[in-house]
Amino acid sequence: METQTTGQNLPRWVIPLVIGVVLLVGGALVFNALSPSRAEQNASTTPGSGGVPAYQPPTEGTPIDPPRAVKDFTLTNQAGEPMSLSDLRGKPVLIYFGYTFCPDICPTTLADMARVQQNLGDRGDDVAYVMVSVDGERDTPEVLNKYMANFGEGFIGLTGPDAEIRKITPDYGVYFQKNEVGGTSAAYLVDHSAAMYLLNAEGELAMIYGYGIPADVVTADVQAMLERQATR
Amino acid sequence: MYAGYRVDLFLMPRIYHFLYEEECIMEKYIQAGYGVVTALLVLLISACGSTPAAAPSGPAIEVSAPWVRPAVMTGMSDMAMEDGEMAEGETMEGEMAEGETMEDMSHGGGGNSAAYMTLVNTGSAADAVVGASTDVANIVELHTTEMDANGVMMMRPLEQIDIPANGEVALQPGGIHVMLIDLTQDLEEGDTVNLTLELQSGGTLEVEAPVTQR
Repeated sequence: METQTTGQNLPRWVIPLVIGVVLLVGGALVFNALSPSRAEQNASTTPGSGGVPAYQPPTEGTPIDPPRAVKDFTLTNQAGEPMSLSDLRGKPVLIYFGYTFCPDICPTTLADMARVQQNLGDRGDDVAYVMVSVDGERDTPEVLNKYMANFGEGFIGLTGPDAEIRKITPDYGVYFQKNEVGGTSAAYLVDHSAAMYLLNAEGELAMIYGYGIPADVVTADVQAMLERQATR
Repeated sequence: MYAGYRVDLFLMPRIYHFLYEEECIMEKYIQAGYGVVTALLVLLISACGSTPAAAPSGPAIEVSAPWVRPAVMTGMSDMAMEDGEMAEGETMEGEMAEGETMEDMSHGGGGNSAAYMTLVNTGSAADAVVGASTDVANIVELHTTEMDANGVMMMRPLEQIDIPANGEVALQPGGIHVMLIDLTQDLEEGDTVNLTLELQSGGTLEVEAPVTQR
């Protein structure tokens, strides 16, 4: 009978306890659900996400020591006239291989080149700034003319048939490949090496800069090159 | 009462047995029990109040620091180049009204640019940008740039830009960007580009992006 009595009277004690435990557990669950988990908080994506680790831009260039001779070449400039690399002898040359349809990497690099030109101030004109197109099909002299003027005074755009460009690129280790990619209105895209190169006044390859190199680093190298030139 | 009885029997008959013999103690325990419940209720309510009440149950996207790269109409439009033909598998969904042909579409001045920004999701559900449009370009696509180990840069279209719950995604040079193709005007520093982003969750986001060189 004792058990019976206990059963009838004790619930007064049990109910608050049960409610308390339920509320405690429930409250904890609700709080947990409302708070973002650590994993979610760390889920912020970085560029290059989607399985590809974010690219780390270099902090300095790679010197080619001693500077290596590169073949001379003749292409068509943005004025529609033939221009040879040797025409630029006597000036350091910053050279880049890109294409005008590229909206991201190429203009970023050319804008950096323009920053080098600005950083050099009065000496900005003592350097040649060149983009060689890896997309001769789209990049006619007229297109290059409008495109290059967008970046800097005196910027040179060179274009030519694919076969001609392919004779030049191995000297720089430049790779480029046309790619018909689905999911875009573009007829094709061009995968290409995104480095920038510094030739000395003798037309030899002296420095290679990976994409994202700070313009100040390039400026310092070019300044040093101009000074060495002057003391010769 | 019946439920209580069952709990009692099942869980702790011996403790009850002992406690029941001391009515006074029982009363204190009951009072304490109610006190605990009250305290928990207060705690729970205040906890709810202080938890980001602003945290919406769905996605909530904000755009910060948008900008567009200066660019010029180069005169070269892929649409003109293709001469009305479309590559196999290519669609112009959303760009052409039914019955319209490529020739009917107004060609822009060629050239292209890119828009960058940070998309912040303060909501508790993931969302994604699934499309975009603007007056300054005939075609707007979502692209990403990938760099391989040899420094070769590859631009690839994206179906969508995912924005995780309580997370963010940065659109910046060398990575994800909104590509503006076939410009209808030159974009000069100081200009403003109005961009409409379509979200997977349904709505749209209006973005005013200054044209600036970074």
